[in-house]
Amino acid sequence: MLMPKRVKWRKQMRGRMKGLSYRGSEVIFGDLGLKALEPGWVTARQIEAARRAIVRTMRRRGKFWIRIFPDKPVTRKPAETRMGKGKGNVEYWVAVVRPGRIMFEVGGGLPLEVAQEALRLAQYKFSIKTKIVGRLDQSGGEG
Amino acid sequence: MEKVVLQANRREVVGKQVRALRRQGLLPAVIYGHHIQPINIVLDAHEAGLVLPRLSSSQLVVVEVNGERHNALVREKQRHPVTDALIHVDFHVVSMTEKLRVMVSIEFVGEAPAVKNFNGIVVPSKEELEIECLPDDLPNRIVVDLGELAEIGDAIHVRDISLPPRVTVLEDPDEVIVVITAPITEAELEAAETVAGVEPEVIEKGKKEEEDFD
Repeated sequence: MLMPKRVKWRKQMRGRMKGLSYRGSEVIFGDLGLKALEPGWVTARQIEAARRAIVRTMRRRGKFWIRIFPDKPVTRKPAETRMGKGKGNVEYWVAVVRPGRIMFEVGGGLPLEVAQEALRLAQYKFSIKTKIVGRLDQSGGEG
Repeated sequence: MEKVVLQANRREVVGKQVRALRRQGLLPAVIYGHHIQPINIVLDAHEAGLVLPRLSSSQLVVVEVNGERHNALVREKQRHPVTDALIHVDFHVVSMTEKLRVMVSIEFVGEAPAVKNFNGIVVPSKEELEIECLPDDLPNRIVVDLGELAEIGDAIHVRDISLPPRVTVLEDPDEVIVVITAPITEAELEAAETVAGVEPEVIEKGKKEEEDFD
């Protein structure tokens, strides 16, 4: 599963997920992408499950890109523990995703129907609403 | 090809107040260039939404601002991150007698035989090419045929591109535009799947401080 190799601090505060994803909101590498429609924490486990679904559908054709990285540690206190005595242990890693973020992209000569099916199966792996989007236009001066 | 004409009006409203214009079905835009003062304009959002997504960054449009015609290129389209609706457009006025340097998008057409026969992966390394020419000679897009890529490792370079006369490419002729790479092998796939979750290394004093708590 994805996680950072080195971190500056072992634990983090939860933070806020206000606003939209103004960066990383367009498909740039592949032909189709998976766009987040809600804010949320996407866990490394969900990313891995989606990645497996995509890889299996693609069957060694084409290429895919993961555009998010779980760099935020989430801690949890053990069950039946009294409050206090410090923050819990790091249990898993999440990527903070805001609405508009392109999470996955597929392309590289992959037939369109296969690309759509791969992303459709990947959609089930996330706890947030997503939609499949294509490239907006070949180029309009963006980027 | 006939030029696209967009009707626009001058706009006095600037800043966050332009949201009110969007609610009225208008699209705020700006028009600027080498020889003119920037003008804030508004377009009809519906009409612009039909025309602008089909325009490439190197396609000339005529923006008619209160009867005054400007030849321009679409420099930037700002979109809403979630809905992808247009929220603002920049037009760059060009002089028809001066040479321009423009990024022209590359369009890949056809199917590479290497994909069909060897499961190769098409990896485009360039999406745009920088060219220099007069506005009248501007190609809308550069078409690259993938049909020549027969084997894995085959590539199309900048030097292989045929462009209309009077158009100069400003990029290195040896640069690769698209290449066919080998598909991922089973071993690579397995190796990628069996990456064990290792504890990340903590830099600096994060660890020390934590130990102080105990």
